[in-house]
Amino acid sequence: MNNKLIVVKDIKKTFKTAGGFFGQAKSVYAVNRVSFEIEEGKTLGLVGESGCGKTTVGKIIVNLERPDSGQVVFNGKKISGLAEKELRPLRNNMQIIFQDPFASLNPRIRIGKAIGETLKIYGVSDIEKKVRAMIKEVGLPEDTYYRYPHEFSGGQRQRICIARALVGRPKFVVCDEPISSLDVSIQSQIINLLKDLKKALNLTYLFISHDLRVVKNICDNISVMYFGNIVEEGTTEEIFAMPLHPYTRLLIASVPSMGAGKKEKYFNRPIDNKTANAGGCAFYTRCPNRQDKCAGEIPELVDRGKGHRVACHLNY
Amino acid sequence: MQNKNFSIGGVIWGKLKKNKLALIGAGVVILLSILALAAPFLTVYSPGEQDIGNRLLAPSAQHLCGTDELGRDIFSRMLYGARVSLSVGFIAVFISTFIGVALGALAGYFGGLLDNIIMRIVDIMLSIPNLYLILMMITFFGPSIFNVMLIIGLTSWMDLARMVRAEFLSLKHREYVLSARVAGASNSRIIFHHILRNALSPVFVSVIFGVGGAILLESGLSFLGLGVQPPDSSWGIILSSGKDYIDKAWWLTFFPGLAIFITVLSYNLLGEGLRDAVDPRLVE
Repeated sequence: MNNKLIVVKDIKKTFKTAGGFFGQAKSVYAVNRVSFEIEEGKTLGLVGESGCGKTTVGKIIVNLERPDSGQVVFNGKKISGLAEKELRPLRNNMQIIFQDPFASLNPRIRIGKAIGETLKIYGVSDIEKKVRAMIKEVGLPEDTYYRYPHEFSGGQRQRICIARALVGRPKFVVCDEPISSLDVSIQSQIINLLKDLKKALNLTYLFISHDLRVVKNICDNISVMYFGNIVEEGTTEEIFAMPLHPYTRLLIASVPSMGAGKKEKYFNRPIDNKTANAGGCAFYTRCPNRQDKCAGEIPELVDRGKGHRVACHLNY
Repeated sequence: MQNKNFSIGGVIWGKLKKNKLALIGAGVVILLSILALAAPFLTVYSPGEQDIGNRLLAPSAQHLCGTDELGRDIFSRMLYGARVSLSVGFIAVFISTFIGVALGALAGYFGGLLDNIIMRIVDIMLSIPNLYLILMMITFFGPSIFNVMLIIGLTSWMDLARMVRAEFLSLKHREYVLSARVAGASNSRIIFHHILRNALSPVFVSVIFGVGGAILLESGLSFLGLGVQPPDSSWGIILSSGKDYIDKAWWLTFFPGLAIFITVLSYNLLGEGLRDAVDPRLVE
């Protein structure tokens, strides 16, 4: 049962800003040497603040972005760098659910058509029947089929997006902050739906989020990302019981119900993006425990036992 | 979850019908098209029929708009001329819309080198005065109805291409487009099914404005003798041949001029109404 469904190896992605006619184009590291594995049937949580490259990792896995280097292996098959034509037969094994349910449905296409699109592309029979079953499965009323996206609320739209992602029975789904734009009252419903469907359809998730409470609830393993790097990874219990990286501690301390009162010493440091890439620990400028070594040497991910790995020079 | 019978057309029509001027424009546009189509049934005289004994007659019950220097009935000539003027307008706009949408979509969707090449062609075309370009091409290819349609079409697609490109640039990063890509949709499916459908309203508006503009341009060219050639009649030609008699027979220039004025005005009123109606920011 330890089949590694997704293996991400050393992916790197740089975005170039348009330099203009006279200006110099600048490179921004979105993802810098990220590696992880997801076992079949498990959920990996990818957490970190906005702009740290989580979404880019998700997009690279479903081949919406190409990594500059490194590779993505799906079910034993290397998929990064394949041409669109070779990819197409594999596409229906992977899906993505986006953050903003208002932008992720085409306003001119009826829900039934939108959900059934992937089935149509792959020439599946009985599309309407399958779409209707899926609509029921995500808890939407039957007449959803002929309606337009604008008739639905955010939570309902997210259910539609989930139906669209799952109707083709993929093995693996990237959930890119699927609940962070929803009302708090709706969030738990969607989370429970995702959990139920995962069990029913034997899915594997990459769950991208900045909300630690949600991640704690749904994920088996967690990888913490900071500035394009993974700084800590391990099982959910390990990470929450014994966070080792100062950034992970900061994240946990910022959740009111998890670490109230401890956060002051972390928050008073300014974020200085310029030095984040310079030959040392990316977190150096914000780290409350930084030492001289941290400025000049990039920390590697080191196993501290039970698969709990941390990239930090400090020993706790 | 109200508004069950929602459709984009319904919403646009709902807004458009509150705009009286646009409705008048639409009415005139439809009326003119019917008049042009029904020309053989509405005219007593054939447009080329000469009657030297009855030359330069003022408008009367026999000749609604008078007769010209060869005794031809102006009313007949104008109705038949409407066929030429309107079809030049429509076909020229069809050509320019096709080119503009195709090139704009390619440039916006694929970007990169292709985008650069297409947009530099647009820049070059826009940097040459349009009338000069048209006159040059007509001298080269020779004046005829067909050439006028083609040349107006070939010289008026640039603004539309820019507009469509901009729409594609913003729409191609929408998440519904990304999710169609993840679902395995091909480029052509994404372009036609997902992006173009959402970019059509501005195209539609530009078509309506374009028809008015093309009719005006055709009249101008025909007036200069570089458009439609006699014995075919278009409004520009009637206007042109009437200018020699402007002191003796005002009706030779007045009626075709009025026809051009009303037609172009109607198309512009309709176009402006449509532009407001498809603008999602103008919701009352």
